[in-house]
Amino acid sequence: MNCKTVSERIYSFIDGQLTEEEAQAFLAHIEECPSCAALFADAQILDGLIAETIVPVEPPVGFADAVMACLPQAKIVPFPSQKSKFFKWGAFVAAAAIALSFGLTNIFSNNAAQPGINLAENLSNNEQIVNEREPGLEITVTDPATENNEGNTESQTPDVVAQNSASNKEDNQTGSSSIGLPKAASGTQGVGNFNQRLLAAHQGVDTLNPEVNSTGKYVTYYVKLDGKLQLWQVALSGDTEPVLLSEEDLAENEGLIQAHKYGEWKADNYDNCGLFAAASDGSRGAISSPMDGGSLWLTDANGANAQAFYAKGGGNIILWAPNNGSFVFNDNQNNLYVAYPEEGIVLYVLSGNVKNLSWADSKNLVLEIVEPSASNSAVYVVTLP
Amino acid sequence: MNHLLDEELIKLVLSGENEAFAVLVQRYEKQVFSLAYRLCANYDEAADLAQEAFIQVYSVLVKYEIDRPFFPWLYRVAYNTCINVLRKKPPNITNLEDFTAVLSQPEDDTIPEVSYDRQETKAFIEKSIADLPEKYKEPVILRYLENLSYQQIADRMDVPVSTIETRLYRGRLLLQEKLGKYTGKRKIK
Repeated sequence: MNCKTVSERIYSFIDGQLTEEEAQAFLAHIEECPSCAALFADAQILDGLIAETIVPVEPPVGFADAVMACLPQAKIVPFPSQKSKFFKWGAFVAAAAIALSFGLTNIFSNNAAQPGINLAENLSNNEQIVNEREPGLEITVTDPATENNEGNTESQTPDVVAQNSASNKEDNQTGSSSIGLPKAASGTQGVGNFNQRLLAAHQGVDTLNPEVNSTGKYVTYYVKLDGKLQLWQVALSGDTEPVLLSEEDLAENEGLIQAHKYGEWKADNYDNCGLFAAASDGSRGAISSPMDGGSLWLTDANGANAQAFYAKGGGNIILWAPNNGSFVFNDNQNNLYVAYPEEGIVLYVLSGNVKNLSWADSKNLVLEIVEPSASNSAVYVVTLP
Repeated sequence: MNHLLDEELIKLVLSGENEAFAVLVQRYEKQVFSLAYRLCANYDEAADLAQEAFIQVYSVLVKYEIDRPFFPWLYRVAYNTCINVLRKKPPNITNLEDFTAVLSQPEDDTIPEVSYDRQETKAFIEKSIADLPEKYKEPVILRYLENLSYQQIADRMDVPVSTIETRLYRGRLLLQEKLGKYTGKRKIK
């Protein structure tokens, strides 16, 4: 070893991190070199000084009690807000395939290991950038139910879906349930991007009826816990942790929790049936039907004149946005979508057991996702294009 | 409950038994408090930091992977929490230069104030360590407080061993410059 190597490895020697061979070479040099020997002596002094100083320190008496007194109330497991992560569309296909192949139930089934992180990370896989609408733009469209399989993607120009809708119009009016519904409308013709943020997650309890309050800035939701009904609040921005607003006796306040109903069941003379909801401005309606393995229909405001719109549907949710420009619906396989009738597009939002859902405004969707078996649940806000 | 393994206690906490978390706090309070103290060199502040760290550990306990060792994970969460809190603090008005007057006084065992001075000197050394740049401070603390090998520190910090060796070397060079009065005037080039 020369002087440079010795000086660079002086602390490695002191820390016992040199090999036996290196250590011998180090010592051999020190014995022959007075200046390195002096450096070594100083380093040993410093090492001793640090070692004397950096010693364990006893915490104050009652420290553990003080910590326990400051823990968040109830059995809540608050999460830090999830920063937006956007996927390019190509990457999204693979990411979403993973999310879908695991499914939310499986995600929750790993709760004992790391329920929170799995839930959040897997759901965030559904975030995507959708392609800008440009004339003639060649884009890949994917059916979320089959995007695991290679070769199920196909390319279309943005206008194709609208054309499909138009071409199906005549057939739809005949009431046939065997018409070819457009299948390739999933999630690509919109503009901008959407993401989802985890606002709160509770273990072993159910978060109920999350809704944006009158300020438009906070989401309130109920939690049933130990015979109490708790009202929690969290900022829509996701910047704060949930806060317990009030706690009342559950038995006396059970009536506060009313299960949401999304749409009404409809079956009429065009031999179709499904969950129907009309836009609040009376401009049109929509039916999410289990027919044909799930299908979505646009209708008049009274439910008549159904026109096939998309080859997914048949779930228990259909809810128009406040501006009536879109509505959210699900299929019977826990996939959630948003449809834009005017634009002729459907965006795939996420896969999960969505129990409660409401619009914060026409772009932000507040939803509760529940693990069916163990009542673990989380409140999310999804921002749409 | 004291006899339970960390992982068993964590499962209890996650199932809603907060008492199990108290056992974890008692089990690791000395390590976490010592870490916090080394990062800020102030006893009262360390108590707040350590408390904040345990609350954060509780808050993110669901993220702990049960098949991995608990203490390194806890230590990482605690370290990050402390650092984040310290980063948000306004710049400390008291800096190292304020201690130079103390250091310039001659040591003399016959003078009653010497004991006080040594306390000050100890505080100066602690402050010098706490004031190290973060990338040097963490390995130095892990090396001396936890007595970890370079490899173990590298694993904890998820960086190559060679990086740890360099950081420990440079961190101590910085300390040697600050503490030259005690270690000799010679500097490693």
